[in-house]
Amino acid sequence: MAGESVQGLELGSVPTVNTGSTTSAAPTIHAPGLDDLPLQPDLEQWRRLAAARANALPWPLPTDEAWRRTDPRLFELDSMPVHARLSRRTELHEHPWDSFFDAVVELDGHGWAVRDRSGVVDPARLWIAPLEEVLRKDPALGSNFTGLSWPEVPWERHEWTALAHTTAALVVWVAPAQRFERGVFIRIRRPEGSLYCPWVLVRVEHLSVLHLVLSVEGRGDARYVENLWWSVGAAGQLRLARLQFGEGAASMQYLRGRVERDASLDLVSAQLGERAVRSNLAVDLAGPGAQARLGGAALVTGERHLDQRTLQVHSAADTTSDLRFKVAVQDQGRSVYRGTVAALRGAVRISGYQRNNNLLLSPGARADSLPGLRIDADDLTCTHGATVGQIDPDELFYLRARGIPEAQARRLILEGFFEEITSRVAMPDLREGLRRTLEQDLSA
Amino acid sequence: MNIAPLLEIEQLHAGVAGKEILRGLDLQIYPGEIHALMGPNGSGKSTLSNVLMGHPAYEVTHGTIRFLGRNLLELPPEERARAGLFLAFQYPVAIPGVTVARFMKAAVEAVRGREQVRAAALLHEMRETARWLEMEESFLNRAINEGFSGGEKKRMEIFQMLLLRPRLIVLDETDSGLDVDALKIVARGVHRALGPDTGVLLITHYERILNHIPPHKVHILLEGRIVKSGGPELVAEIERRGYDWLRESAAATS
Repeated sequence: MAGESVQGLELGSVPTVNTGSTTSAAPTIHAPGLDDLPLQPDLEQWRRLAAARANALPWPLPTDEAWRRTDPRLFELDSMPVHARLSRRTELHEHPWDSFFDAVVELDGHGWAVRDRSGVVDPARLWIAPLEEVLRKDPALGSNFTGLSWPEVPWERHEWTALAHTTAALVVWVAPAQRFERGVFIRIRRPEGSLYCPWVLVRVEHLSVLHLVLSVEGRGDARYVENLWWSVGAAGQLRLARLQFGEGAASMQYLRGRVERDASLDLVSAQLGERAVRSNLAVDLAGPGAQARLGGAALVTGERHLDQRTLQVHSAADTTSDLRFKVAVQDQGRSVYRGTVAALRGAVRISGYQRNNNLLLSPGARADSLPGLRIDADDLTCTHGATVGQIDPDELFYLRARGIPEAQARRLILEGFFEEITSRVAMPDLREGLRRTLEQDLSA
Repeated sequence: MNIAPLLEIEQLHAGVAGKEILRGLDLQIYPGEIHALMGPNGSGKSTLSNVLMGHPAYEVTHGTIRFLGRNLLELPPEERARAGLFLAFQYPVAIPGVTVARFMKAAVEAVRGREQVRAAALLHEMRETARWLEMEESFLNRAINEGFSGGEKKRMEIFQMLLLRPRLIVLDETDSGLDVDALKIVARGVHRALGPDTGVLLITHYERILNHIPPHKVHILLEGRIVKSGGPELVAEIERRGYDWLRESAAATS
């Protein structure tokens, strides 16, 4: 173990994390990641190390480049008590989408529960269990999640804090060469009035296919910090949909994933809720032939603030990534997007695509878009682009000229705007469910 | 004769971006009539179709338009469509992500009334109409006009016209950019939509479409005014002599 980690351990035997925005230390130069702090079966000790990592980092300031467009005070974690660790038992709530899935997992303020609808949940096939239990039985599993660090996305104090305080750490592990009729649905019902930090780790072993949907909902104010990590083994496939609902909370999402040789990731992210959201997505195309399709749909209404960051890292040759993030902003809403496509040295013959389209629906709405490339390889194709605009008056006129009232015409155009993303949802039932949800949100 | 006109335009002055383009246009169309409006580029043909449909960028500064006895200028575009006015656009726009089927369901429900429309029957009608226009059925699941060829876009306009069953059809240069086969299909569609209560205003540059849809009356538009009206024989005269002789006589009378 690195000397620095040992030092961290000596800070104290109780995981104490200062969640307050005390005076900031010097700007971060080195932001250590998971590579030098691998997951280990003694999770309590690991949490203490994570707490030390958190304490060693400064809280961001509004003047920091990464936070200039999003006030870090929106995400102060100290204003809420830390939610207690959770036991296994909780009550499962029925949800209209349950029947689309083989297994339903629910996390709430009391604990977590699994409903195995198709008899597929089995440690030899589809293992759904707390991280502690998995690491005890299979210490090697932790190594699947090292390597999720890049200079472009330094680890932030918030995410180490969340890891140290994790309310519930859950593993979804798929054995090699498995495929399921439907998939897994993780529903997170975040509690109100506390700092709640779920941590979900997904490993799809080689040649397996997993459809996974994670949705978050909740009422009232809260601090929510989620760490969602995944890795997809050789020739495996992960179809992941992450749906953010909820109202009133400040929500931070740290999504880090790796796609190995000839494996593919298909991600659809929908941001449809909460008062302030900062979402960070970083995907590493780590093995030759790896592919990632990344779709985002977001609707920002009222006085909400949405800050989305994406990073597509091509670290192997012959890899492909295709990102399309679409955002519609209404009322006094505010959207910030910052994306990077990075081609690391040796990542030849790659294709990277990144596009962010913003639709402003009200005069007070605002969207900033900062796409970018970082190229250290040759012989590749990387494209990026961004648009910020309003609904085309000619499109609106065309629909109205066919008898469709203006408000309905605007809704149709908006649904069409998002269709590029919703059509990427692989499960037909869920695709329809998401379309209906969007329709309801748009008519609200 | 006791029949009321479908459309009555009186002394219409209108323009866009502060520029007056129509300068005192008069026109009456009765049920069952096909009118052709011809004129060179810049004479105001497209301005007239935009003003009729109610494009918000166009401004009417003087004059009246009555449609089926109602003051058309008071109605927003959607009300005009529901009253029975249909404009086949010269340049139909693409609307990404909205399928033809979804769009037409919303349009037909708006025009015929939601309670009059049964989803299964409407889908059947759409399929039948698409087949009749020699379009692939898969076209119903494509996004409106997205990636459509010129001919497909015009057929899409005719498809909508047939489903919406309008009383007055305005075809804005629907013939431009069409090959002969596509033109024949468009003409067939117009004939199918025609009835004793229906009128047509054909706006065009060329006589070609008029061979397929013979007009009862022909009007020549020059510098925002109708300078000459007549029967079908006027078309041949324009083909032979162009517009310049009319320009001179228009200048002499104004």
